[in-house]
Amino acid sequence: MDIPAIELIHLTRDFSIGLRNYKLRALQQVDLIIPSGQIFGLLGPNGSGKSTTIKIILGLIPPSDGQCQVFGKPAGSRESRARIGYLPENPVFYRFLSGRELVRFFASISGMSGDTLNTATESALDTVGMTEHADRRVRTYSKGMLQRIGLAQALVHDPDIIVLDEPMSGLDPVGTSEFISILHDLCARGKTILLASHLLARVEEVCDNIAILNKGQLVQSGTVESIVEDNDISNLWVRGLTSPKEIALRQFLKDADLELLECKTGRRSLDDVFLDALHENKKVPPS
Amino acid sequence: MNLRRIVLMGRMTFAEGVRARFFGVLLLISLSILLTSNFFQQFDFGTSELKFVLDFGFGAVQLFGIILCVVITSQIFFNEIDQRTAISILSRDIARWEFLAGKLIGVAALLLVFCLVTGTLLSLVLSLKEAIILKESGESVSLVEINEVYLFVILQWLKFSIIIALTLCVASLSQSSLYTMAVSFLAILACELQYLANDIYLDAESSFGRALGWVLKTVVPNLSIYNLGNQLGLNDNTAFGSAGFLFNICLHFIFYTSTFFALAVFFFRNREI
Repeated sequence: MDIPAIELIHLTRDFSIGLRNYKLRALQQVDLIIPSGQIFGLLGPNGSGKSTTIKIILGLIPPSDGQCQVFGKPAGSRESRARIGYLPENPVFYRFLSGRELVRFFASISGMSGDTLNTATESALDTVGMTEHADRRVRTYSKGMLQRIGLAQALVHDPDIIVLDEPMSGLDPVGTSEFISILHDLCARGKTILLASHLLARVEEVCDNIAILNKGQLVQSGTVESIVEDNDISNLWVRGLTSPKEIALRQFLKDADLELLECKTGRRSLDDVFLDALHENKKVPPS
Repeated sequence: MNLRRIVLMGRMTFAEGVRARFFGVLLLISLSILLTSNFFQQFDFGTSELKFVLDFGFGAVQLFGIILCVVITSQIFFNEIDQRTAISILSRDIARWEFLAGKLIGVAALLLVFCLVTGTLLSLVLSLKEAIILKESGESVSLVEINEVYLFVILQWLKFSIIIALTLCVASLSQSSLYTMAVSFLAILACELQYLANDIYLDAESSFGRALGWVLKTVVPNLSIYNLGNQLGLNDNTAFGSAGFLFNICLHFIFYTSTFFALAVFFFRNREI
């Protein structure tokens, strides 16, 4: 059996607050397995324990009880940290550096040097599509470019696991779409991606598995399909349903003792309309 | 231990510090004060005129250096925490003490630049003033010891390094930049007044007072031993102490910088970032 990328075993974390050492439980007995080679979504409202879980996985804080293992090694060990890349929420890196210098800095911090460093830097910039803008100062980047250069620094040491904290917050639909495309490419290359996000529609679109945390407890986990499907209800997508045919269909369902819950005209998502409009606009040459 | 990573962190800290607006403004103010020091004195002439410029310059280096140490260290430390750069760095294969060592080295290098720039300008101003005085008096005896001006700024740099380590120690414990600055300035004041603890120790009549004085004089570093401005700079045959005295100062610097840095590492070890 494959070793899971990340395994949380009865993970508990308490924080001491105030002079009286009042205990605040941020995580309580969380058991979770994140298989390798998947995009895994970690969901939950503010204060649910997502950030604490990520910090424990990164080895930035130790668990109060239980274990966190990264490819079978304890989180925080040198071996586990070398296999993880991290993109924080709303990153503000050294703004006086160029994108290339920033990625090179993180490659150097990760222990790379010489040709390996140069190759890894260019490869990471290429993966996120930032080669063209790599010599500009970070302070001149747009939000989308900042996220992509942030992803490049997370990728530069070729980690097996990439942890992304709210990577799509603040991105426009084009930026989000491009970011998702990069995530799919990375997943196809065998990387495990752990994604914490509030954008549920995006998570549903991009993730293979999800886990939902609430008040420090794991309330649900599994494949996206298994969590969102409702076996009692079926959807029929019908083209050319004119009024007389609809009446006939309703009668047929009634005769078959089936309840029709809703019948409405098909809709496209606003994101799809927006992206198509931009795509069409690109095709029209400027007058 | 990976020296390369420490140097990398130090370089990045130095680059950030040099670009900090506060550093630029304070360096400019210091240089302006040094340049205009001659205009502040009204009545003194001859050697005392030089003494005034020297004291004024030394005072500016000390005062602005201490402010820079505390503010820049605190700003850079909390910028990295607040902007989450520290998380990106520390999630990699880098030890927390290496991260802190980089900060210490980077800010110390920045203060070295400050000391050398202000020291050089002060030397130039003094040389110019000396030339004018010698021309007026017709004498040829050198009045200024430029080497001692540099010795003074290097001694200040040693003191600044202790203060940087002290500020890092406070920052590792605290949650805000403002609190770090306030506590650090109070601690520096206590260190400058450490000789009072020695007085308490010598003068106390009760054993409790004596014990308290001993604890205070042992724990609190005496930063006033670096303030040798009255004995340096002018060729007036004032002895500033032997080579052994300078050696003891170096030992003092190494001991307290290491101690405060070790405490900073201890407090930062399990800090939530």
